[in-house]
Amino acid sequence: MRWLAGPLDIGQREKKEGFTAKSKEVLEHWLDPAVLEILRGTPVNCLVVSWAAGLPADAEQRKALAPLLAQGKSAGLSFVGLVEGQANQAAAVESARAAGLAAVMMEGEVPNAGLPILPLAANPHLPWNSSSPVLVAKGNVWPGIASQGLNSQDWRRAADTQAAGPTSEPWIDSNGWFLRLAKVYAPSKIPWLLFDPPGGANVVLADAYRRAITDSGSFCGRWVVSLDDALRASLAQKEQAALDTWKSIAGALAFFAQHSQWETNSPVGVVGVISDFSGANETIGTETLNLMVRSNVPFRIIEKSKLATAPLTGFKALISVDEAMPEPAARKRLLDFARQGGALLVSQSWKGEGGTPTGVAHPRLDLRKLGKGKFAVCKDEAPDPYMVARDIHVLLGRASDLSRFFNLSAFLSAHTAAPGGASALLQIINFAGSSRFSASQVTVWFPQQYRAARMWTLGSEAPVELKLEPENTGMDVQIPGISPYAAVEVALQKLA
Amino acid sequence: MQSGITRRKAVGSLGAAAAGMFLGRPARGNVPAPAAPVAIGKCTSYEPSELLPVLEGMFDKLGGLGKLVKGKTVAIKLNFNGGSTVRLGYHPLGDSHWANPNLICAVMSLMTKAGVKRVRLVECAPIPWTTPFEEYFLEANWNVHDFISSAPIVEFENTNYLNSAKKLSRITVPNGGLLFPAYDVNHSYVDCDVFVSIAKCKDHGTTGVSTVMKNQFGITPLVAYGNFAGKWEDNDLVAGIDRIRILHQGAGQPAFGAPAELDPKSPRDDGYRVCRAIADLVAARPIHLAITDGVTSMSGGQTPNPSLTFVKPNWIVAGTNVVNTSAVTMAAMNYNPMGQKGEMPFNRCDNKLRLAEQLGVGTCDLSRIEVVGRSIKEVVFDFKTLREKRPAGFNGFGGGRRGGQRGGEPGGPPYGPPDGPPGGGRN
Repeated sequence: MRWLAGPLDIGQREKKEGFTAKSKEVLEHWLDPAVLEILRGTPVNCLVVSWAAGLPADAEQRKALAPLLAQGKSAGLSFVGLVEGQANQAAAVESARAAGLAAVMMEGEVPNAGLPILPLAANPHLPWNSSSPVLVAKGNVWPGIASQGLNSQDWRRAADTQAAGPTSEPWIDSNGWFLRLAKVYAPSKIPWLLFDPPGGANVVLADAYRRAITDSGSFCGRWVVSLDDALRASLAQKEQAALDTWKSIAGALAFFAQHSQWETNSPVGVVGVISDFSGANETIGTETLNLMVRSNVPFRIIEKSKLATAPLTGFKALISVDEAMPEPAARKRLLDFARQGGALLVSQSWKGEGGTPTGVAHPRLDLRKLGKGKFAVCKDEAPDPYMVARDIHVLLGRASDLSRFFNLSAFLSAHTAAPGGASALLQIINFAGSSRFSASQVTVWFPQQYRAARMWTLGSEAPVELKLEPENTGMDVQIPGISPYAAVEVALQKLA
Repeated sequence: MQSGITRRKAVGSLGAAAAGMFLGRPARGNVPAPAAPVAIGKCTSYEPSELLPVLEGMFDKLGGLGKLVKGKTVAIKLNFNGGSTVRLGYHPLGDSHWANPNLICAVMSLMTKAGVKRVRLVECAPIPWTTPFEEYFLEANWNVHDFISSAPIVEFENTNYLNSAKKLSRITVPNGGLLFPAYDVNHSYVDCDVFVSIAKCKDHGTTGVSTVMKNQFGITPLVAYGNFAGKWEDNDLVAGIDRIRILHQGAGQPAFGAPAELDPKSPRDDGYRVCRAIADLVAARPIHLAITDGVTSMSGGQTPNPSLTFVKPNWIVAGTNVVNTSAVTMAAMNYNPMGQKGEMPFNRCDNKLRLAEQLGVGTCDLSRIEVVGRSIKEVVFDFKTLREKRPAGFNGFGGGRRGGQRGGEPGGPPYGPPDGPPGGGRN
């Protein structure tokens, strides 16, 4: 958990708009070891404190934090120091070691540090090959309906400022794409995400915090929980509403701690996204992932460097929209994939690689037939990832859907399979508000003839059995409500 | 098959408006609006084993399908209102607000048995023109193979767009029309030998009830009649998700070269306008076979929201004259098909049946309509009382917040204020 307190945090924030005497008071108050009491009984076991930023307040900060560190360590908490800005990193690490911090997080390295250093970088540029078991990403988004909307209430804004996609669907900000990428590049590491709640006049609701936790948890990441100024102020005053919000946040954290075995699941998906996600391909590659997550079409990531040998079993459609074509062997594999009946959507650089025109007009794609399959070449040199995500679904065809959703509007889902494939897990985050029409009596249809389904929700000790109804050669799973999260586990046999 | 219908009756019922136009004189005045038999069948489920004999019996009583469809290309207007991913509770769409897919397939199978050449399934679906129409069926979780295997040749046409045609086709309202003199529609509504409408029976805020007549409103393409007609999103998706602006409110004129309305100074009230557009459309594009699905449905509104009630009227109504069929359907819903404005269910609108009757399409006078099969009394299901008992604030009609994952007509996602349906989908 991000624990903002002390002179350094005051120094870094006092020149920002909206900083008030009250803000300063709260940052001072959170130095009080007594505030740690809110952590009792929660799964929070590590606090990230500001440690050094190359500012005059650095030394004062370390001194001011001492009582908090002492009390926290005696209560079994670990502390990680955030080193940033123009700080002397070596000196900061040494002081952290001396102060008994468990680790520091920072950009760059310090040889022979004598203390674990958690690499910090802007996503997606993490040092994937680092020896650290934890990688820390900054530059993440606050999950929710973009701009503002139902995850927060900004009383100064008109409702029509809410962002939407080109076809009016809510535009949901999520870090899911990055966590999916992290799982590929560093499967054994745990990504920590740094991001803060919306500031200013936004009142951040408890459900917005829970969505932030579930957006990370559903995609196997950890959000370094960061509370907004108003909540921290209210918590310091032990106001009941704030304590209730905190309780729901802690409950959500506990939920994912209790279900950490889900992190061993593997993503399912018949669509493969191929890229090196770097250099000239970073934007198109990562945005395609982002938009695929948003489209709720299950997908798997294929590293371009491993394409020549990566198994293509189970894929029905592949996207390769990197600026340049893959090397010849990999290119041949993809063309063969299409010849054998797959759907292949590629960048403009593939123009002339074969196939015969279907004669079907399309504003963005040159649609071609290749062997038994489909070969679609982008007409635009820089294709719109939103359209790529949409077009691949059409190219694939909904007959290959792994799930279909009813009575859900603004939502994200993460579809995974347990090791061995005995069961599947569909985690759903509902980003719609709490009106009576939101996400009640939701149906998810699966093509499989599942025989058992149960649902876990935040705060539930035990799962709830869900009703299954045969429908259209598959099975409807009936979900009473999603507010704001549900994990639906389905199996062909009775669940243990 | 037994034929209980004469050629003269058939001509009168299959295209009264067209006949009037051919004769070059008004169908109104002293000429009584046509009347043709309407069949009612009792049906308690969508199991093909029950549907097929019930429908076959009904069609036989109407004169048999063979005379209508043998060797012909049939266009079936579907009833995709309210969004493909919005359900009433857990009920599949075909149980609540779309005509049931099993019923449609059963009709297609019987047409095949009667010698139909080709069936074209038509509807205005709010998806990009690059997306095959069948994908919309799948999105709603309908089994496309069931349709494909129900007739010798099955085609799917999203009539929001021109598709293979170079331009929209103009259908002219006989005798001048009530709101527009003519409408521009997808070619499939003209390039067919037989036109069939299959619709769910539902309550409807703007026009009283939504059955086979209201279904005709949905033949107007969004490219010409949508809220932002003439504008495009994403290169392949027409902007605007319903027809509120142009047809309901009259806040703009149709785009894409479609004819302007007759009197821009006429009321901008949707209770005045929509019923007139429907009357125009059933006159301009005669319906040869109208089928109302009342096996299961919902009461209180036209697009699902949690305040509506799932109901099981357990009947099907079919006829060769759309106004006659609509009148019998309304009676089977316990509504007065001849009701005046202000009388339930025409609380705030004119009676579209009477307007169509004035255009010479067909009578809504039950005393002139022969009901075959089951009687109205045998099957009546009291939508009227259910509607009257709805609590204040749950009128279930109109005004819902639009938007959502696709939204539109059909509508959007299940969220919105309590006084409106979720995500719109008003049409």
